[in-house]
Amino acid sequence: MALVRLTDKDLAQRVARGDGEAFNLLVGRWEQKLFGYCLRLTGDREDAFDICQDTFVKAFEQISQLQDYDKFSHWLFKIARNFCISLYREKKSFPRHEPDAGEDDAEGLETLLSSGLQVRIDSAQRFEPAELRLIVERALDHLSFEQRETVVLKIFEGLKFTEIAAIANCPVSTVKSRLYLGLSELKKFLSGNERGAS
Amino acid sequence: MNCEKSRELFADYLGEELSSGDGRELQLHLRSCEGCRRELALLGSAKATLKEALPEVAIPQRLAFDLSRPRRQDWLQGFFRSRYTPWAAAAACFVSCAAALALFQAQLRVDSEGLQISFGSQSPAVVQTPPVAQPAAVATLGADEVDRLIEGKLASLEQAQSARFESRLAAAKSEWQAQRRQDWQQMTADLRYLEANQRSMVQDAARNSSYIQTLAHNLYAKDERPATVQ
Repeated sequence: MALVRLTDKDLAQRVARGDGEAFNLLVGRWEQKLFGYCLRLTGDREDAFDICQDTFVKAFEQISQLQDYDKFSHWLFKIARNFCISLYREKKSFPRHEPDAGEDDAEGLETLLSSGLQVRIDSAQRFEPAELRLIVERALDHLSFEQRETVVLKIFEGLKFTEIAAIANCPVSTVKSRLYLGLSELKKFLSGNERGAS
Repeated sequence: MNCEKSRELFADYLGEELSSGDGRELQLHLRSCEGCRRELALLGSAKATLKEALPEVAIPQRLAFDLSRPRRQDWLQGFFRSRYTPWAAAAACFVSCAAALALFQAQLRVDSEGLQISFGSQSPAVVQTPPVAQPAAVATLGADEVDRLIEGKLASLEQAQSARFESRLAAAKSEWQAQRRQDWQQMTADLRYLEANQRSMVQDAARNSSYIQTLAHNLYAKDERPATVQ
C-alpha cells in the first residue's frame, strides 16, 4: 500500500518500527502547522523553525513511548509546547525580533497608540497590513502564555476544545475560559481601551 | 437565559462549537440584550482582526531527516518485540548448556538405572591413532607436474585476490558517490534556506518601510492645521 494513503496512526506505528520514510511523510504533513503554531507563540521565525526541528527530532527518538498512536498530532504539539515554554522561561517573554528597524517599529507603535489613533477593530481595514500586524502582535504580547496558546490553537489552527485541552493538559472548561478571556483582552487592547500599556 | 449564562456560551460561539440548542437560546437572549450583543460583536471583530493581521507564514525550509541508519534502541526493541525471540532464547540456552557440559568434560550415560552424568575423565579413553596413509599419489608425481600444480594454485589465488580488490574498489566508489550526492543535496537545501531567509528579510524591510511611511504620513496629517478664514 502507498505510504501517502496511510493515516497518521499507521505511519506512527511504522516509525516506531524504525521506518524513516514514514517519519518523513509525517514531517511533511505536520511541519507547516507546527511551524505556524510555534511562530505565533514565539513571534520569531528562527526560534519557531528551530523548535520545529527539535520537536521532530525528539518525536522520532521517543515515539516508542507514545501510548496511543491515534493521538500523534496532539503529542507532537505537546512536545513543541514544552520547547516553547522552555524558551519563554529562558527569555521571560517572547520579545519581538523585527529585522533591522525593530526599535523604530516599537517606538513608532507606541507613538501610534498614544497619539489618539485608536485601532478600531471594526475598522481594521484602514490600516496597512504591516501596521496591523505589528499592532496585533503587540496585543498578543499582553496575553498570558496559556491564553495566547489557546487563541493560536483555536483561531489559527482550528483545533477543537477537547484537542486543545489534551495538548494543554487541562479541562475543556479552562480552555473555553482562556479563549474568552484572551479575546476579551485583545478586544480591549485593539479598541484602544488599554492603550499604551506595555 | 441571563447575561451570565449567555457569556458562558460566547467561547463556544467564537470557537465555532456551539450546539444548535444553545445557539437558539443564545440568539433569543441576544435579541433582547443590547450589552451582550455588542460584546459578542466586538469579540467577533477581534477574532476577525487577528486572523486578518497574522496570515499564515510558509516554513522557510522543508524539513527532511536522513534516517537511513537504524537506531540502536530500535535494534533492541525490534529484537525483544520479534516473534522469533523465544526460539532465539531457546537456541541460546541449548548452546550454553552444551558449552558448559563440554567445559566440564561431562559424560552422559543411559543404562538400567536411568540417565547418569559424570564429570571429568574418570576412565581415560584409549586413543588409538589411525595409521597414517602414505601419500602414494604424491610419490608418483614428477617435478613438472608439481610445478604445474603450484602455478595453477598461484593463478587461482591471484584471481581471487583480484576479484576481492575489484569488489572493494566498486564498493568504495559507490560509497563515495552516495556521499557526494548527499553533500550536494545538503548544500542545495542550505542554499534554498538562505534564499528563503533573504527573501523574507527583503519582504520585511519593504513592509517596515511602508509602515514607517504610513506612520509619518499620519503624524504629518495630524499636525497640519486647517487655515483659518479671517
